[in-house]
Amino acid sequence: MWGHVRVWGGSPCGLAVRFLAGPASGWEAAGRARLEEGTRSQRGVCEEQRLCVSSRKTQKLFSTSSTLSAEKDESAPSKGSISEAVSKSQETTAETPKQKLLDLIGNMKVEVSYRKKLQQLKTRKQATENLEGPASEGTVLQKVTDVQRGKPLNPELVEAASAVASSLPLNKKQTVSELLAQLRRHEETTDKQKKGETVNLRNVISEMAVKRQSPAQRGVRISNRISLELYEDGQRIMPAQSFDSRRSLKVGKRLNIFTKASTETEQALKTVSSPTIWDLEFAKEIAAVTAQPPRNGFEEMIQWTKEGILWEFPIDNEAGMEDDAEFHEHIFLEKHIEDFPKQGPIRHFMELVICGLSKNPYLSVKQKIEHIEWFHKYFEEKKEFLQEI
Amino acid sequence: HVPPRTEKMAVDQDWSSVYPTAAAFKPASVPLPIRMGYPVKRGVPPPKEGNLELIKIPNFLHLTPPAIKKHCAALKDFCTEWPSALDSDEKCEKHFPIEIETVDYISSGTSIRNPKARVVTLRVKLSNLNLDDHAKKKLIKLVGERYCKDTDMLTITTDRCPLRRQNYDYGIHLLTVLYHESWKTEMWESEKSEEDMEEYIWENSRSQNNALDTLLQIKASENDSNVTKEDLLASEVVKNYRSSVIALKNEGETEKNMSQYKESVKKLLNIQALP
Repeated sequence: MWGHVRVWGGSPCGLAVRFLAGPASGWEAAGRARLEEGTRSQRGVCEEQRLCVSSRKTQKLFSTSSTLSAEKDESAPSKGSISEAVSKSQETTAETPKQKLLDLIGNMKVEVSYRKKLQQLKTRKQATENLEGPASEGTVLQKVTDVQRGKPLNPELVEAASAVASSLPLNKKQTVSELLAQLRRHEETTDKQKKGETVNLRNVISEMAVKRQSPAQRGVRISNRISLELYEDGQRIMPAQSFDSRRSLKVGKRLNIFTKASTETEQALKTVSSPTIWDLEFAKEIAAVTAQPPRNGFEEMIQWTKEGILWEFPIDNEAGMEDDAEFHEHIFLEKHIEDFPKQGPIRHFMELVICGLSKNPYLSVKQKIEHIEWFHKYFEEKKEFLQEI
Repeated sequence: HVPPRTEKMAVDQDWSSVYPTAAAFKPASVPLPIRMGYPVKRGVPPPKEGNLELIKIPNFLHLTPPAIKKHCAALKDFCTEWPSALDSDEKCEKHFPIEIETVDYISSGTSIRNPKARVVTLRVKLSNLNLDDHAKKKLIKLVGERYCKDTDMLTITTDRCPLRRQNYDYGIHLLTVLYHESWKTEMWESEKSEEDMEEYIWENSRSQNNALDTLLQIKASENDSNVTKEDLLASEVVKNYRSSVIALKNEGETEKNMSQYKESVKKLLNIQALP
């Protein structure tokens, strides 16, 4: 569920809302209304953020198998407990779908921001810290929150975050910084969504610096998973391929700027299925250049079979012999002599002709019909003669 | 000069890589001291080097048992297993009563075509078809020579169409038509006379009439006219006579049949054995 939702996070909020299967209740309707209105007052944002925090946390409780949350697994339990505290402290009542969406986006943005941080800071230490785990993440987060976020957070929120952190036995600073960073991300995302930008995740992954191993790995994994979801309606692209070449073309991207996912897959199919003549010629040229003389008898036989010198096994004596007609068209030819008189010697004669033709396996149906037509014409011409007689 | 390859060959080499496919005999590649040909006077057959006789003949050096094993192993992936449930001929016949026979022809030539390849033969046992007495007799009459009484096998051979699949369709069509037609009873079938019968039926035959008449006359002469035809028919001696006559007519004349007939006639006419 997480993965799906993450994908749809970039699309209009309403869509994502529908897909959320989380703790839905009566607020959803209200929430949807609010969402579509798009109230973005500062207060509204704050509320959302507050509620975002809580709902995100609750969501986190439900999530078990998702990349993002997996990567923050260690932080998740802590955050989970935080969320409970937060919810208690803040008395969250309305957990609207909007918040859920923002949570998810925020979560995505968490990944994004991690990488951005790394890129920006560009310190080995940062990378190693990142690798180590949540502790390092926390510190990095902190720095980022200090450095990156221009927009000041709601002081209430900050207070709440610190209250939460203090209520927990864990590293206070870390949790606080994490919470604040998360909130900031929500803001940013909502702003971006307001402007109508698509999900940053893909952009970010495409911008990703490939120097570090772990971020690249993670990015690839995520992009693979995302691309898996995306292609579900169309083809299914082999994730194994992109695993082989970490820096392959298939990593991430799919900005979907122009068209929706399905049409893009169609386009991809189209280009594959209709190669130009030049492509064919090029392919032939390559085959001719790289073709080695046969190394053994089997390869020689293969070559001969391709050229047509050797028959293809199992031998089919009728290979290539096309005759689309069915047996009844060969054998039951009475319908072609309906034009002839029903009685008399002519009919008798034509019946014999038909009998002979039906036993002839060397003529095609067309030829047989032509045969009968010839007789038809002949007798028509001779009709005048016959009538005279 | 370069020594032949045979001198460097190990005893346990992989022979299938020396001769992977059918190839002419190469004396430098075959490490066997073969001699072939008509010996000159007071000599021996010529050796293998430059021996045209060895080169002319087809050899099977590429089909040694290990090579064949390798071929089979390679081909196994393309084969499907025989269904294990069909392990006897009877089972095969029970589940698949119709046998289709087609022939493919191989020749060494440029053209792969062979007009004999279009022939399709259908074989089926009439006992596997659901036919009642009348239907069976009618079918046998319709197919005529294509039915073999000894094996109870109906054989339909079709080659009227140019393609094999067309002939197969036509054969199946013929079988279907025969089956359905034999179940139908036309009006004129009631005019079937005694000459058309396949087997001898005693009821209403001349033999029955004769026997009954004779017996009636005997009884009349003895002034025992209460006896009716039905009584006579039901009597033991007449039944005996009937069975012996039927056996004679249907199965032909054998020792057993003749002696049975003799006994039944004696009993019928109440002739005592001669002393």
